[in-house]
This record gives sequence, structure tokens and C-alpha cells, in this order.
Amino acid sequence: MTGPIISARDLVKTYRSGVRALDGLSFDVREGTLFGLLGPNGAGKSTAVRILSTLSRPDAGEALVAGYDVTRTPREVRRRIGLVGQKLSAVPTATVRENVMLQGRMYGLRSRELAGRTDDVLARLGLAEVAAVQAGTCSGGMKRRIDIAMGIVHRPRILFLDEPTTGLDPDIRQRLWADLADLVRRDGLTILLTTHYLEEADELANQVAIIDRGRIVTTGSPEQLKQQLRGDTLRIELTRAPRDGVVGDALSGLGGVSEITVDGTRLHARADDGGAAVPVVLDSLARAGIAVVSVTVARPSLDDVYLRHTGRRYETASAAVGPTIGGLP
Amino acid sequence: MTELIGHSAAIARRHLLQVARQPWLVAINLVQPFLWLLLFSATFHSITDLPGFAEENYAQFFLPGLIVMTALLASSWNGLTLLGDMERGTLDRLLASPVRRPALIVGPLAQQVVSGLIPTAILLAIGYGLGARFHGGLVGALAALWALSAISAAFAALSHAVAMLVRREESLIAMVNFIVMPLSFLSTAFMPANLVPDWVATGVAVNPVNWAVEACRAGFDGSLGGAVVLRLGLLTALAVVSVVIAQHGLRRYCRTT
Repeated sequence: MTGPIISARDLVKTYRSGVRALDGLSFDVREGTLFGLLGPNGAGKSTAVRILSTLSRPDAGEALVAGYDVTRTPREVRRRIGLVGQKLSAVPTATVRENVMLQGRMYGLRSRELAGRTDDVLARLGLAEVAAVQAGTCSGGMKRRIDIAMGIVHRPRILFLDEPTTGLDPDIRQRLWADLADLVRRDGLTILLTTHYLEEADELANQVAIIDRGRIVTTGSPEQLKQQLRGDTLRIELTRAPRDGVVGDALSGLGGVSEITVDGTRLHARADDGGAAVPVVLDSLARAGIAVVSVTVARPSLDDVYLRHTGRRYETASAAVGPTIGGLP
Repeated sequence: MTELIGHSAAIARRHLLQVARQPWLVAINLVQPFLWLLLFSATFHSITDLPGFAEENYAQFFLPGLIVMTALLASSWNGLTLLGDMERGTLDRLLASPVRRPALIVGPLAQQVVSGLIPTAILLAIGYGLGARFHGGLVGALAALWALSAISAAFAALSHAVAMLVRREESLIAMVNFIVMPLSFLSTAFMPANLVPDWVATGVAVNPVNWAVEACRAGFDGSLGGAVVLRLGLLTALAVVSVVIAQHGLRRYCRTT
């Protein structure tokens, strides 16, 4: 296949509650890459995955997965994808092996071939030792790996993962990242992963699309996105929240300092040269009567990219939306 | 068709395992009908003295009704498994696979029919100890089994349909309690139709649970005739319609998520 393996065009989805989850979502995914759909809770990530994995139908727009239209030929799409949803979906009273084999049977795998593939995938994901254990007794990290084993036992071309590491400990998350990277590198699997962890997208994804309010606001490799931002990021912690406009007035005349935002006691700004800007900025703030607790100079992060394209800081956007229920906004 | 059977069998097997690996659930489901048979047989023993009551042994009269009631109750809870699958995301994972959609309904129904045979066998054994006898021969046994399977499949399918509509455990439980007990008492499971008020007898005649009780009892007695064939036909039709309704419920669930 020469074109993208996933192509979403102008997808629109409004739920009965009136929530417009997708508002013209468009993006492409190249084969054999790990594509990160990054956005805060409620941005539309899960809805996008549900449509691309044929669980939900868009109100408008078109999506092709592995060359097949998700609404016109959903069964062809289903044969070529694996899905790992947000929830730990293994049947708790079935063993790890039984869970994986049941899923394999849904793809027409039988007897020796199914057993062989199940053994392979359990070994690959470090689950061989717990193969005979009931899934309900496994740890959260293991249950997540069981989900992935169920998602790949039939050797799909595309694996959808909807926030696979949410709620996992950092060390387990790292292990899972290594497993996913290995699936792409060794097997040529295409992975579309949704996440609200900036560092996860930064670490794992070849391509990232930032989604906000049901639309893609920017897309590219993590490095490309960060390179769109010149210079450094200044993160300044103030002793108390300043009055509106005071910080802007204090720093507005400074050359090489831009994109100034204040969120409570946290001040963020872009600087062409962070090291040179720090003393100048601190001096200006002091003249305006604004006391500073700490200053950090950093290379741009995806958080800065998100801020630039949405006008909001990532943490603020996530907190404003709050938790989602059942994977739907 | 082969694919549908394969998928249904795999799903039925999974559901059977799910039940078998919950020992407390199995124990309670087996002990409950045993207690009912003992208690009802003892409590209603004197009913056999009423003028117009044909049987001399209440256990002989009650056993077919209790077997149907046990199957009815078990199958009516079948939707709870589906709710568990919805909550856990198992249903979504299956729906994103090329599984034949009817297998998601037929699989659990097959499990229900198969797992219903175990309490039936136990009840037959206990009933034998209480003096109940089976006189129907092979044809009678097949008729009773058909009636049981059809009523189990019908109510398990309807339970699925309700589960997909209400999508909450509490609502399904309330619905089952609301429907199952009145339907059981509106049948000849406990009392023959000639000993109940006319308006109850009218309800009994159109109650599918009663069709199953009467067909099962006829199988026990060996009194098979046109009425039994009609009831078996109606029960089969009900099972088919219920599966269609459950299928519709599944399509609706897919459309609204």
C-alpha cells in the first residue's frame, strides 16, 4: 500500500446528549508507524478510535482503514485490526490463555495454528508463566498486556490502543512502551495510540496529531512539532498570582520574549535565548513588584506545542474537562 | 453458517467456564431448587386432598413446574453476563472483531440451555426420592427437553434485549423480579387450572411459562397430544421471536454507542 493505511476525512460525531465529540477530524497514518493521537480528556480521541474500529458510525465524513471504508465495509476492516480499549477487558474467570484463544477463534483461527500463535504472543509479552492463571488474579500491568495479546493474536495490520497506560505505574508504563515499540519495529505493525500523557506521545510516537475539541490542531513528528517553536521555554513560579495585565505590561517591551501566559502563580514565556533572557525578565518583574520563587529554562515540549495551537495549557485543558465515563465524552 | 456455529460454540464455552468457575454460584443454583422442592412438597402436601386435584403425590404434580421455574429464573438472569461484558469492554472487543453478530446472542443462549440440564437432572433425582415418577418414555423426555430449551432460550434472549436497553444491573434485576414470579404463579406450576379463579385461568392459558409447564408435565405423564405439539410450536416461535428481538437490541446498542 502506497497511501496512508488510515485516512480520516472530516469526521463529525455528535452524541445524543448534544456533545459534539468530533468536529471535522482529519488525519493520515503511514503504515508501520506508531501514531499518537494526543489530547486532553473529552477532546474526541476515544470517539475517533471507536469510529475507526467500526464500533461507532460517524454522522459525516469518511474513514478508510487498511483501504476499506469503516461504514461501508466494516467486516473487512475488522479482519485487519486489533483493538485494545481503555478498560481491562479480559474475562476474569478465564485463564490468560483461554482469553487469548477465545479472541483468536473470532478471527477463524483453529486448533494447532491458534495454539501456536497464542503461545507466541504470550511469550512475546512476558505472559507465558501466567498462561494458566485466571486473568482476574493478574496485576493491572499484566491485564493490560493480556489485552494487547488479545489484540494481536490474529496478526492484524493495525492495532488501536485507547489510552493503554492510563492508571499504570511508571515502571509498568515503561515496559509497555518497550513492548509497543518492539511490535512496530519487529513486526511492522501500525499502531494508533491515544493518550493524554504528553511524555508518552513524545517518547513513543513517530507521528503525533494533537486533537482539541474534536479537531486536529497540528500534526507532525514530536521533533517537528517542537521545532516549530523557536528558542526556549521559560517557566517562572511567582509568589502570588499577579493582577490581570501586570505581567504583560512588565514584559511587553522585551526583545526576544514572546507568547507570555499566566496561569495562577505560573508564568510561561517563549525566549529566543533562554539563558540571556532570564536576568532581563527577572529584572522587569522585580520593577513591576512581582516576586519570583523559581525559574526554569527548558527546551520546548509538546505542552508548549499544545499551548501554541490551542491557547491553553495542556494541564488546564485536561482539568477543565474532567474525567470521562465509559470512554465517551 | 459454519463460522456462526464456530463463534457461537466458542462464546458458549466461555460462558460455561465463567459459570463453572464460580463455585458459590453453582452451589446456590443447585441447592435452591432442591430446597424449593422439599419445602413446596411439604407445605402443599394437603392440596392433594382437594376435590378436583388429580394427583395423589404433590411432588409428582409440582416437579415439572419446578423444573420449568428453575430454568426460567436462571435464563432470566442471563443478561447480567452481557452487562458485565459491556462494563468490562469485552463486548466492544468482540464487536471490533469479525465475529458473526448472532453468535453474541446464540452463544450465551446455548450456554443457558446446556447449564440448565444439570439442576434438571438433580431435581429429577430428588423428585424420584419423593415419589415422583417419569412415565413419558423417550418421546416424553424429548418433549420436556424441547419445552425447557425453548423457554430457556426465549427468556435468556429477552433478558439480553432488556440488558441492552436498560444497560444497568439494578434495572435488569428489578425487571426480572417484576416479570418472572408473576408469570410463574400465573401458570399451573403450583395448582391445576381447574382450582384457580376464572380470571387467573384465562391468564394461565396465554402464559408461555404455562405452555412450558404443561408440555413438560405431559412429557412426564406420557399424555402427549395435539395440545402439547401446539404448545411446543408456540414456545419455539417465542424463542425465535425473542432471539430476533435480542438481535435488534444488539443492533440498537451498536448504533447508539
